[in-house]
Amino acid sequence: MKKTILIVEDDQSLRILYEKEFSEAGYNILQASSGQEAIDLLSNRPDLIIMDIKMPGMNGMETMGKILSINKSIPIIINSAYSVYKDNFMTWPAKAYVVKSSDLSELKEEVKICLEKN
Amino acid sequence: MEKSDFEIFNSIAHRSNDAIVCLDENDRVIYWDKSAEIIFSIEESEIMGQNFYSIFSPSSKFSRRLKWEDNLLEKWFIKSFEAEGEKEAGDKFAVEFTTMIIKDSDENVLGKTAVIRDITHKKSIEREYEKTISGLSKLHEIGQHLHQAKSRVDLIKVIMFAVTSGKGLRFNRAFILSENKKTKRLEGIVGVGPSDYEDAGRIWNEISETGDDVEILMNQSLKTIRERNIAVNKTVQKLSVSCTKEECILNKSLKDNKVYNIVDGKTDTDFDGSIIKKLETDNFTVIPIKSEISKNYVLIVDNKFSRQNISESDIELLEIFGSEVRLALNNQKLNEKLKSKIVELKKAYHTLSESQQRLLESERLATLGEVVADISHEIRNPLVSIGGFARSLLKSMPENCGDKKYVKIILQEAERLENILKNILDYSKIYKLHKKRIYISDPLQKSLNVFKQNLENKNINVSIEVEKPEKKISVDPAQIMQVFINILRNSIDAMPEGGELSIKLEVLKKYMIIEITDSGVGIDDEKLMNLFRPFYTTKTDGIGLGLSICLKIIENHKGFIKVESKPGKGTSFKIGLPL
Repeated sequence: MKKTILIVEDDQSLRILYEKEFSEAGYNILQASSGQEAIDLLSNRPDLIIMDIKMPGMNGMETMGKILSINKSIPIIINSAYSVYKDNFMTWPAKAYVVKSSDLSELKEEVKICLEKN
Repeated sequence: MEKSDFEIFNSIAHRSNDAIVCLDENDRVIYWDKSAEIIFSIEESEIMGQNFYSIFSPSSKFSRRLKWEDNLLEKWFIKSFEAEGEKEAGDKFAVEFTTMIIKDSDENVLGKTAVIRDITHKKSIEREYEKTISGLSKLHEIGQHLHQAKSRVDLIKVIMFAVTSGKGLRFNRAFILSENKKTKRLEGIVGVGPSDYEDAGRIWNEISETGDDVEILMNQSLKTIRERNIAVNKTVQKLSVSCTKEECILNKSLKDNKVYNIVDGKTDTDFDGSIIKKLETDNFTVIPIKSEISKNYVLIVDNKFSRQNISESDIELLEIFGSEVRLALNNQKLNEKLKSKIVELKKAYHTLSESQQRLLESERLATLGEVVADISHEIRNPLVSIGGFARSLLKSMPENCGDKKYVKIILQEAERLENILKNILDYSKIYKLHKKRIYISDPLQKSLNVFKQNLENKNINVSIEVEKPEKKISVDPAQIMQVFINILRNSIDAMPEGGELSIKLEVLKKYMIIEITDSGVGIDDEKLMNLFRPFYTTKTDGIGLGLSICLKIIENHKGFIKVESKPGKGTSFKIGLPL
């Protein structure tokens, strides 16, 4: 069965890119442009969440905290332009931390590993 | 007068120290009491019936016994006046005359009465007092000069002037010695005064003509003063003495902080008499000038030529003078200290200013760094889009599509920008060291692995030499790996046709040395100088931050990095990390 990935990213271009790439890789894609939208989409039961950190309103770390308190088993991969948040304990519950790059192979690899574990 | 009245009168007159003299209407002496005999040294029998004024006459028989200073005959008509004279033996005396004219009830002049009081003592006290007052006012003036003296030498000149000049305390000669704490000796500095009587006379004449001014002395150097007063300066050198000689009056004076007045070779304490020979006089005064924070001095003054006694008031003035000098000395020292403190403060202020500037600059840079970081992050998202889509497009474009190469270029440029971004972000980060104790060969091997493909493709021979047993060192593994990667990248780029890459690990003194040598194109001197400068690059696709990042990381580890290179021969990087 096709797995569903929820992409939480405020940048529209990136959302389109990720949607294209991950669809082609064989996943169903859900998109959220903010933390709140992401929480609202939880009812669609995504298998994995790719979470950006810097977003207007609730940032990615807060959002992750809230989501995990609702459903602690959902794997979340942080995908941020910043590497500095790796030091922040709020990001540690994430299954992986991938710094944004135009080369999506690392992110794709982490997604594969996470989904295989589950 | 009735005889009984006379007897009463006589008995009263006898009891008084004042002389009572009575004259008849012809100014002949009709009464001459005992006190008059004493004051005038003239017996009753000699003067009775004589004209009283004869004692004032320079041609009378009394003139040898009494020499009067003023023309007294003119003064006689004043009711009371003072007169000074000199007796036969040379003793000076002063008297006060009070005269009364005696008239009868019909206003006929019966005669005159004079009461004469010996005021010699009073006069001398007055003189001393005047001297003190004038001395004090002179001292006040001198005090101004003392406090205005700009240097130690100037102060000494003022002291010399003050005690010897007519405008000062008027001593014949003055000598000043200073205490040298190192050699523990009192050493003569300078002396001022005539060398003999002739010289004294000449100087006094000179001064009375030209007047003496403090400026004259102030404008002369010590050398000139010494040359003009050769004899006294020889003496002052002779006076130099070791501070351990307790019996020397100079040392005593300093130790007791007391002015010693030596009269006829004696003072109120025993002392070594050799100083009398050196000074060639047995009447002199020693004044100590003790300063808590500056040097100690000893001043000697004498009246060798004028032979004037140094009186009590002189001593008092000298004591006052001494304390003025002490004050001036202390003030000067404090001034000096203040000046040097001000210089220090100015320096400190400058350093502080500079530090402040640097801090502001670094804060600015920090903010700049933050700004750069923020901008870089803002740029990243769009870059990821551009590069990501280019990649995506490339995948779906068939090989023979003409536009494929253009899309490749889009991707290349995007990647290049990403690389630049990464370098900028790495550079502007504040490096937090996450140190671990590891074998340095570990990150070294890992970084070599990153370039494994390149090394093989470019025909580069790698040799590693590790000094056994290998020691662990405390480093941040990720950052050190970054250093190795940057250096290896450069080495590989320097050998486009292949070559030798040798790596050596050894311990030297307290450092772990990692030496990476290539046989590449080498670096010329100009590039070598600028090698670690940020944004300095000779490559077309670089931003020039790689090596400056290396330097930063190594500096954070408190290590060092050295480069040696010869164009055409190769380059060697030596990294030292503390054990």
